[in-house]
Amino acid sequence: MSMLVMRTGLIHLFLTMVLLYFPLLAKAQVVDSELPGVTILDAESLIELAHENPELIVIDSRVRDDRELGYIEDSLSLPDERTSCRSLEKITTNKSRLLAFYCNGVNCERSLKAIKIARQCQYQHLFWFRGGFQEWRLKDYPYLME
Amino acid sequence: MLNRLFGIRTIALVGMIILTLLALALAWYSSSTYERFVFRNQEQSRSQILSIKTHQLIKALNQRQKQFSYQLQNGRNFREALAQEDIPALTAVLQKSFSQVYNNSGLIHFKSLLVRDPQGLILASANDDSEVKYTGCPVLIDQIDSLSVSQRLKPRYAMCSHDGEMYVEALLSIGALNHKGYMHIIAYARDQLMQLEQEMGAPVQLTSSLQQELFKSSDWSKTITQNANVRAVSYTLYGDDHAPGAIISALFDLSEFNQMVDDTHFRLLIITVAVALAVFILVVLLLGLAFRPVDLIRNSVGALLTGNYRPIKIKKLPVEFSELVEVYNELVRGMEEASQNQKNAEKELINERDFISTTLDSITNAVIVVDSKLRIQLLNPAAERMLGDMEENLISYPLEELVVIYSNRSATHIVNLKRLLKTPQQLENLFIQHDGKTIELEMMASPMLEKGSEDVGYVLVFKDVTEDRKLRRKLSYEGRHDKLTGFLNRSAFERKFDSMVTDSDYTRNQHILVYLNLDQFKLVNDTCGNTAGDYLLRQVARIIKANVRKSDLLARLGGDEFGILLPFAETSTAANTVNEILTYINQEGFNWDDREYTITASAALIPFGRSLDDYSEKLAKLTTARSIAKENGGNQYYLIDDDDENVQKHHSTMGWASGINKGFSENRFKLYAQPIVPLKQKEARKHYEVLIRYQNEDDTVIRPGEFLIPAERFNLIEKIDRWVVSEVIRWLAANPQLEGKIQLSINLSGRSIGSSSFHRFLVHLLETEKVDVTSLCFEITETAAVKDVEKSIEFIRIIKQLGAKFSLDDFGSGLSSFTYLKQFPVDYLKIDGVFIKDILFDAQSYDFVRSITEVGHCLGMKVIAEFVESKNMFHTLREAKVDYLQGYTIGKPAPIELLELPNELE
Repeated sequence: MSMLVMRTGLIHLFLTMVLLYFPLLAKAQVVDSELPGVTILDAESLIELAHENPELIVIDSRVRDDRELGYIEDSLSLPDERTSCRSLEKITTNKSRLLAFYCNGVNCERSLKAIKIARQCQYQHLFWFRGGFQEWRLKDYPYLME
Repeated sequence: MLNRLFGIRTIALVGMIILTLLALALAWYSSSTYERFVFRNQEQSRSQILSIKTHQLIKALNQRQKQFSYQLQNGRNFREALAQEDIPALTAVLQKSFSQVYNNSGLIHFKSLLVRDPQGLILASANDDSEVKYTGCPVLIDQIDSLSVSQRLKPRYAMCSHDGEMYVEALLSIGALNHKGYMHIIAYARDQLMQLEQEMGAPVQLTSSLQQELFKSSDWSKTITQNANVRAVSYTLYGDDHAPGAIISALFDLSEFNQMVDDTHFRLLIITVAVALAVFILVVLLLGLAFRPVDLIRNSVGALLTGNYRPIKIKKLPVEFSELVEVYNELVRGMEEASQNQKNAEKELINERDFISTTLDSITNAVIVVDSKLRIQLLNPAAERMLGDMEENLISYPLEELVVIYSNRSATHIVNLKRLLKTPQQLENLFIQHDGKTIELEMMASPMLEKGSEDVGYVLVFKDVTEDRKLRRKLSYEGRHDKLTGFLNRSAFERKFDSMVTDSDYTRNQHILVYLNLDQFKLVNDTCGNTAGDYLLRQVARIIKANVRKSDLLARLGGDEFGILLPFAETSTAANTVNEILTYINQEGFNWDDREYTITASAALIPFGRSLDDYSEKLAKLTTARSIAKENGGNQYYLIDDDDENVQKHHSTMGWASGINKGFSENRFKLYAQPIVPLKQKEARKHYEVLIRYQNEDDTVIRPGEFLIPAERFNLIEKIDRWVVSEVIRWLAANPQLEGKIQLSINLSGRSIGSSSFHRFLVHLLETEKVDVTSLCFEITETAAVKDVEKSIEFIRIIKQLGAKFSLDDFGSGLSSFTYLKQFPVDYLKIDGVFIKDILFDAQSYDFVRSITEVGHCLGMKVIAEFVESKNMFHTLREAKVDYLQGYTIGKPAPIELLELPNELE
């Protein structure tokens, strides 16, 4: 029982840290120096951005297996291995279209990879939901499963 | 106050018991309080557990609601119906899901499933069969408008009660980035809460807010009735609308808890009792310790009262009391010492009392202690004897009733003792009559005084002085009287005379002083002895007493001198009286050893009656006058007139005391020499007797007869002897040509012979002066030599060893025994001139001279005859075979300086 309590406690602690960490990044709207022109978002910013710009395309950079466990409704699945200018152009050719990328979470580099590709492909308004699905689900936002 | 009644220890013990009981009560009370507190705590904790479990169950339900919602949204039918806004299709989906879930899983007991548009309006719904229609908690719906874009996406839960039923609701977003509305799921809480029975492991009861029983575990009632230790704990579940939704109750078995509490309770009591007991014992011990010194001191004081002084041993006591006990011990020691001192003092007092008592008993004086009324308080054995009764018969009787004290011997004047004692004093001459005898007493009375009061009595000391006084009177009489004759002695007589010449009754009249002296007393005394002399004196005294008046005073002035004082007497009467006395003395004569002696006396009278008269002056005159009378032949008296020149002249020579001393200082003594010649043949040495003369201022020469007697009387005779010896030796030394041709005889007085200092003087002189000692001869009278025979013999021997010769002078007059003569180793014997004078007419004298001469010759002595006054005697003396002659006929005394020269001697 106590072990369980302790484990739960540790998890809570870890989650709290994560929760504290991401809003800071998101709110700062920090643009990575390596990634000029890319805006980093948290879940709320993402929701608001989507609300204000209904043309926003949210791209899920994860592989199919990950997506099956749950995904943000209305996001498009484009794993990073398949992300290229051509695959992007299939989604939209409009380089000024708002594009937001996410993957599993902060430790996941798929969304970053995808954004870098998208930037190379001249997409100008790129957003990186860095917390990814992990943050989304932790914040108890609704999601869908395949 | 209390401690006066019960004592500190009792109070302390009772107090301790009360405190112990109080402690027990406190322990009981605190234990009960604790029990209640713990019990309440227990209830609260149980209630909390109940609430936590409840909420856990509800959370679990919420999770399931959310899962249900996501599953429903995943369904294609639902999405399509929603996308196409096909309400009937949507409602069908809902109803299908509702019944499906409700029937199969049983996990959620739905009340309603609602789909709401983004504004909260119901698009489609599915409900259970209940008649009660409920479209959700207003709390959830009302908030929708105020939500932010992101908040809308988050699931929201609520609990609300409606019509006595509690519902668990969830409002879940449909769509994510593209928000399309809400899924509203309403479930019954009841079914979920029923699981509490399992969760809690105890019977559970659910009651609605309307007090309706919603659920009750099957064994609820059974448990309550069977187990008395079972308690119900309730928890009221409030909804998000803050209205009470349901009351959840659970039963708890408290038997174990109660058992524990009871055990604790019991242990607490045991511990309390143990501690109280321990404290009690400690207090008792401490009290014992604290009161130990008190007990010890009490015991010690108890011992003190019986006379045992026991100091307390400090070692046994707590340290706090050592100082007190030391002080106490000090006190005990002090008391012991004081007691010892007191005992000693008492002992001393007893000793002193015994001593005083013994002292009092052994005092020969009568000691009587009387009170102020002269009642006897105390007396000693001597007083018993004086009063003639035992002490017990005398105590408290007034002294005056027991004995009468007189102030005179003849017991005619009674002493008032009380009056006398008013002035304490020593009283003499008290008398009491006892057994017909008169006891003479001295009394010393000392008042006994007490501080601040008057005399409380007297100590009377009576001294029996009867014998004492008798003796004193006798001594006084003897002091004043001559033992032999009963006459006054010289000093008493002198005092009488002095008192008369100072008494005016006497000085106005004439009185007669008579001096009487026997003519032959010396002869009688020397020849017949002192006893005869005394007898003669008594005889004379008797004659005198028989011929004088009773009032006349008679005295023996010394030797054969008598003094008579005739007061108020005419000269003629006195003369007659004296004449009669002389006549009777002569008539009576003196018989001793059948031999008759003619006794005559000479007297002198002198009238006196003036206060200026001096006794010694009068007596001196009388002595002189009597000498004249004796010289005139004796047996007669001489009446002195005041201007009697004859006596004056004689008398003047009597001032010899000063005259002799004057003689030395003024060189008035002269040496004379009278030749002594041998009768038969001539000798180589010429013999002279050295004589002394006193040369007066008018160059008249006084013979020694006049001053030698006063010299002897005034103790100057030895001085004269020394002078004579020194002078002779000096003269011999100055005339060395006479050595071996001359022999000088020097007279020595009896006093010098008896004087050891004179012996030393003479020996020293003879040994040191360079003169021929053999030319010296010392003459001693027979009477002087006889006075102390031993000493005289010794003296003669010593001087003879130095070469000098000795001659026995006046031999015959003393009538001493020839045995003496034999003892004296003298060279010459000089017969008393009395015998020589009468030799021609008295045959007796001749015989005497002759026999003495014979005896002298027998003893190897040469015999000298003195007073040879006529040539007729030569023949007779030659017949008597006398060896030497001396006298006026042979040669008169002449100054020694005029001695014939040696060559002329030849």
